[in-house]
Amino acid sequence: MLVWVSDVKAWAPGIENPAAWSIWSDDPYPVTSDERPAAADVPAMTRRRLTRWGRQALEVAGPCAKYLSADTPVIFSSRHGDTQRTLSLLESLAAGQALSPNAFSLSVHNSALGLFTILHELQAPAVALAAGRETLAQAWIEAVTHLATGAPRVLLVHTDEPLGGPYAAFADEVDMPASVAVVLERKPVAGAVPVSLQCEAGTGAGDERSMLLAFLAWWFSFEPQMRYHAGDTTWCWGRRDYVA
Amino acid sequence: MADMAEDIKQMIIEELELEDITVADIDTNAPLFGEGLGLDSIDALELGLALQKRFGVKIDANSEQNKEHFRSVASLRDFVIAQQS
Repeated sequence: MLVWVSDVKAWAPGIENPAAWSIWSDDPYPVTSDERPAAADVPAMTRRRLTRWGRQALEVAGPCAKYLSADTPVIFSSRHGDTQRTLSLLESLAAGQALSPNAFSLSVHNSALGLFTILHELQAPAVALAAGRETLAQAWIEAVTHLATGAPRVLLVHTDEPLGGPYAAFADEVDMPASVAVVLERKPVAGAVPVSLQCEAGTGAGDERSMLLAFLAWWFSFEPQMRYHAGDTTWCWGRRDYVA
Repeated sequence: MADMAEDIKQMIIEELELEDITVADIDTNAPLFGEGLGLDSIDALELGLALQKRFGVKIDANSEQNKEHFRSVASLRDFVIAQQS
């Protein structure tokens, strides 16, 4: 199904505006940095509770809040979730220490989404999902499903960071700390880009880099199409009439 | 006793990750919750845990007096001193 993308916001350390993303897309290397986004529009008393993972999500979601109305579904996706927080809780358990109530209260996959919906008083359907290496594509399918069943607009937010600490040994793709927010529309609106996502039988091979990294490299380039190989499945994003 | 109040303020800043707030910004006698510093119930739980860890005080979760103990830095200080003696 063809949908219209009316806005995209993305963040990675040192890459915070479309011009910087465009330069990065010429040579989309994985950024390594511990830098966290400012998430300046999140009230300080809420922001203090967020790890980088959650800050990344709210950094890009915040500027898209102005597009939300009472019936705008919101999807937050992340392959790994807030692993930094998970790890700190597990380390406390392993050491026989009491768990931090704050960390525990936010140790769910929808924690960033929950804070976002509270901050903006959203009451439309909201879901946080994960689907392995294909998480971003599956979140896109979720968004398209909302559009196909009547929602005029959907906000999709994806955040991830490389696996760290003891999890690093399990990393199976090239990743970087990054987030993206995409506003998808059911009908054409001025300035929006028509985008399709299709799924084909895969070649068995898998791309080395994460789907988020591949998507960002494609979106901020001038390429009309992007194919992402995920083993049994190949995902193909395409756009038309792109005006830079 | 001034020192323990400073220690408690430092603990509050560290445990609750209060960005941009220094020990000097916290009024010893001002309310911690709602008005004043504006902390919430999750913060109260976090502080209860921190007091146990750092000062070895035991907090009875069902005590009616918790609200009074947690009113301000001054009341927390008095509570810790009473528990330790």
